[in-house]
Amino acid sequence: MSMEDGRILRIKFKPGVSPQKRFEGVVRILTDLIEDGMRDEFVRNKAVSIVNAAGVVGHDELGEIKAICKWVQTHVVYRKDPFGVEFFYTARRQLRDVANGQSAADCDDFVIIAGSLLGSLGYPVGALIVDSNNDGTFNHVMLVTKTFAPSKKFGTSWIPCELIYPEFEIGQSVPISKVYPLMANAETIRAPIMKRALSGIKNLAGYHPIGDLAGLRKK
Amino acid sequence: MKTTGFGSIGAIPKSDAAFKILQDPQFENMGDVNWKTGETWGVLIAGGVVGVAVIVLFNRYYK
Repeated sequence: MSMEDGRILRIKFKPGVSPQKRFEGVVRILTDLIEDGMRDEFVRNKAVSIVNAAGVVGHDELGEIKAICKWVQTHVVYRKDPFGVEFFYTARRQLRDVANGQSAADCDDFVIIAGSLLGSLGYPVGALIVDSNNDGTFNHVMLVTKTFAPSKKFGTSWIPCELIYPEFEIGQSVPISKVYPLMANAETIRAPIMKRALSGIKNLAGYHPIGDLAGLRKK
Repeated sequence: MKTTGFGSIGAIPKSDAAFKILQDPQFENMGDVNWKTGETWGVLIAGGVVGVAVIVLFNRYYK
């Protein structure tokens, strides 16, 4: 598979890592992949075609956010990761899989693709980890974004977006009791994570917080 | 709280809990540089230390 096709990053956690630590590590990788996706011209072109196909007029910020979220909810297919392993699909790879009828993504992949599409259209985006069982344990991730101009419904507040259920409107979530946000930095100048990965996942992960969790820290 | 059904998994309750939590002022400036975190200062100080070390070593070996 060439870099043009997009890639999959696979992280196996060492036994005993708590769900909360896993999710804190996961969002770090996740926001890196969102930042990479929002800089990808292929992703930007797809985002433009989605909002155009939805008939969203220029300057309709809420319309663009709704159109992208609805497209992701209705085109990306939810599939769980294998037990004990986290897969991360780049936005480009996910778009290709959707086009080929091979979409299989879990909640963090949904956030990567929606965050990349919205980020490529200029919106601030981030990952919002939540306790979807409403028990204080982080176990799910949503997208968070906002408009620049105030909207009637949300003002300029941050808008949580539940992506894995097509019937959820933006702003809705399952009942939760706490959130842990981590924002993507649109101005990042670091090398794309998958390009760094080419020199060896062990070398990359050893210097990343999730690498420590996965037991890959360089000795 | 509203609910919605998804085939075999039953009703998924809908809520605005996440949106309400995000109205707290602590979430207002998400994404901006936070000068109160150790990570921010760690990156800045570590960057400074590495920068000074590079200049000192360069001057020592190439002058």
